[in-house]
Amino acid sequence: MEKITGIKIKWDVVPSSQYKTVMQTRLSSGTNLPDIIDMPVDTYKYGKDGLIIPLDDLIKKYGFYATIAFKKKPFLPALMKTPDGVTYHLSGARDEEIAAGPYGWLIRKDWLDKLKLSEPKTIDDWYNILKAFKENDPNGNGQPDEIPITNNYGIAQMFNWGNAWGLHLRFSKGFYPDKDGKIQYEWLEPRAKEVIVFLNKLYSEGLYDKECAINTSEQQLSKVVRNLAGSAIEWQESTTMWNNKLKESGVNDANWIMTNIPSGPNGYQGHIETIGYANGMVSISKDCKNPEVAFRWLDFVIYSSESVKLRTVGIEGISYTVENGEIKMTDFVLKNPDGLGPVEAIRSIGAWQYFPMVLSAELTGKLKLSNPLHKERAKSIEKQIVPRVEFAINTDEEFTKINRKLTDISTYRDEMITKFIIGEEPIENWDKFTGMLKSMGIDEILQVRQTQYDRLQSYAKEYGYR
Amino acid sequence: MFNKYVNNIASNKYVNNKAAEGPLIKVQSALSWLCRNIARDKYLILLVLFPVIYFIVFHYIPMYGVIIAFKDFSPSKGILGSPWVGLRWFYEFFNSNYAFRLIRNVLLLNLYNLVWGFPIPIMFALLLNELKNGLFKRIVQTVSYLPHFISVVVIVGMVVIFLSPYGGIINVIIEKLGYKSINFMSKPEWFRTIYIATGIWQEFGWNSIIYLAALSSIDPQLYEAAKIDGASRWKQVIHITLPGLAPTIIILFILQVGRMMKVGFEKIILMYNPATYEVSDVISPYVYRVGLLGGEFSFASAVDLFNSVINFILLVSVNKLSKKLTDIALW
Repeated sequence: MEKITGIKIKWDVVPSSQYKTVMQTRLSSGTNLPDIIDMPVDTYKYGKDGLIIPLDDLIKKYGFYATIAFKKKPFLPALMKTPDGVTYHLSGARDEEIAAGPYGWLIRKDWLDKLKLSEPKTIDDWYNILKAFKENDPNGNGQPDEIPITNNYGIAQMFNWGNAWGLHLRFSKGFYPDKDGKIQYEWLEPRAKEVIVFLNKLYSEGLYDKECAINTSEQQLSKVVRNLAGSAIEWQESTTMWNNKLKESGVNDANWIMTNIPSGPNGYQGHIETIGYANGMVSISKDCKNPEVAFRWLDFVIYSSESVKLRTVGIEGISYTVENGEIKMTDFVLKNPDGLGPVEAIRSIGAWQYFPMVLSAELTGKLKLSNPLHKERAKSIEKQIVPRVEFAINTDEEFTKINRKLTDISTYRDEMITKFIIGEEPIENWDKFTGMLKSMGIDEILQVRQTQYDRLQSYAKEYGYR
Repeated sequence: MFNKYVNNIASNKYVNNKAAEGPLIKVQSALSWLCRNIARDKYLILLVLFPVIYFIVFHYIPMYGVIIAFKDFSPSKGILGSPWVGLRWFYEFFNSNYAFRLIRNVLLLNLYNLVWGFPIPIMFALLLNELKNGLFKRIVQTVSYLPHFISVVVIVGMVVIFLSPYGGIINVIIEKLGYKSINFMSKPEWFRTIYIATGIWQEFGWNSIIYLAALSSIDPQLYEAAKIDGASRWKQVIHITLPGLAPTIIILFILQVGRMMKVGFEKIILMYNPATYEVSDVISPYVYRVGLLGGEFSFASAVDLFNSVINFILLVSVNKLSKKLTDIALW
């Protein structure tokens, strides 16, 4: 990157787990700020306080690549715009990523074959298959130690099952517009109860991982590699690494694949949500001596196709080669010597970092879908992918109105849902739960969300989206 | 008679003279006294300088930042420039849904820790003191305080693995004994036990060091005298060792009570999950979530200040009580 742009960067490195804390502290004291900051929180507050500078003029004057990108993705500038109409940060876009390597239900195909089962399509199929995994010893060690389905991110990931009922509980967090554009809180709907009843049934019969409330990605990986797990909800590219690791530990026929998105009992086809349109927020601080250079650097790094290519598929000769004008990923990515999946392999040589990125389906597809089976599977669920709902940035008033209420409500929701699922709280108390949500002020939050939703729509119109 | 008179004058004169030159001489002598002392104790002073600087820089200077608890803090206006809001943040905390639960959880965790965690190092030190074999004693001691050096992250990782219902060693033993395995980490009723037991395991050896030091300062002649009087070992412990330890025990107890509202924040964050929130959510992670992650610095410092004030009140009152009852106190 330094070679191409001719700008030497002094990186200020903080362990990723502490990044948010460190950066927040530095921002709140307002001193010792780097020129370019990957902002950990809403930029509006700090922008208004003058800690980071407005970028609109810079975009107009120097935003060569940004302007091109915004024309292609008009929703992106709308999302970056604060209530004052000023832009304080730049984000990448990842709308096409999900289609090119989706998130969804993964399952051990070899276990299905062993038990002569076909791939699950409906919620009932899933129940039967998980039961079969539990009872018929598919890992063949003579012990009933199988975990039919495991998870990651604790309880939150189980909310994905709501997708089969047409709910948006995971990435939209339950806030979703109905067909008239009115924002609803979907946890209040009877369908949400049906989902939890289903999950409680799985849990109480021992079909869901007993540690579902505490699982981290390391624990999930360890269960997969110990040949215990039969299915999971994850990124498709994890299958590569999982299969490789299982082979290393001697399970030669292990075959994790992405399978259908389950359809619900009420005939709904099921969907999978995208994880958000914009990614990352990068700002320029007030201490920056040469904002013009900083901005032009960002403009190039985030939005130029040259940089997007470098950061998506890596370095020619190491991670890919070009044959007849076609990009071909090398064995370093496809059959990584350390058994990593494609994205992890790319990351190991410095590309695909957590910095705003514009993802082009063409390039991500080359990387993630280098395996023909992956490609076919991704294609088959493509039409079931729905966008996550997006909201405009909080005004101060909106922030104070909802921030702590929202924290309290999600604490309460997670706590109660966990208890319902693991059976600590009888499901008969569901009405008490929804009643409590109402008394904690969900209506006020909905009002604020509605204005934020409408505001974003009007911004989007301004930029010519839809 | 005359002599006496002269002497009186002389002495008066002397006294007067001294009064005239007094301040200068006093300052001079004080200075030379100081210089001599500094020269003599220069290494000791250097040694104590570091902690003093540490406390000034990290504990006294930040205290002025506490005033943001009474202000609506905004980074660009700075601490002094932000507007005053009085006790608003305190009211908001006490009106929030979880204030009572957070306070109760902190107090209960610390109460249990006091009940179980406080006596164990004392007992361990006493037992260790009775050991006659020097080598064995040293090995036991070393092994007991090794866990103190393991980071909390690793400790919690180990606990999760040991308690896992999928092949965790504790559950394997439970199953071998013919019982049903327990899903420890998702059960609210187990949280406090696990939290406190692991804390004790990690710290009892380390905490016993101070008692061992106190034990070694007890005069051996007392024991010899007791032996001659025919006291058994048990009697010796009751009548010599424990009274000898009492000041240390009381001082440490007072200090411990002064930390009643404090809980290892890292360990809670690593151990809690929605299933156990009702017993595991305490003030410090709440301050972290709302204050640092949510960007509400004033609110968070108000909550934290409240916490410290309670600690302070507890510390002062226990100290006073102890002074009345036992005559041993911090100040």
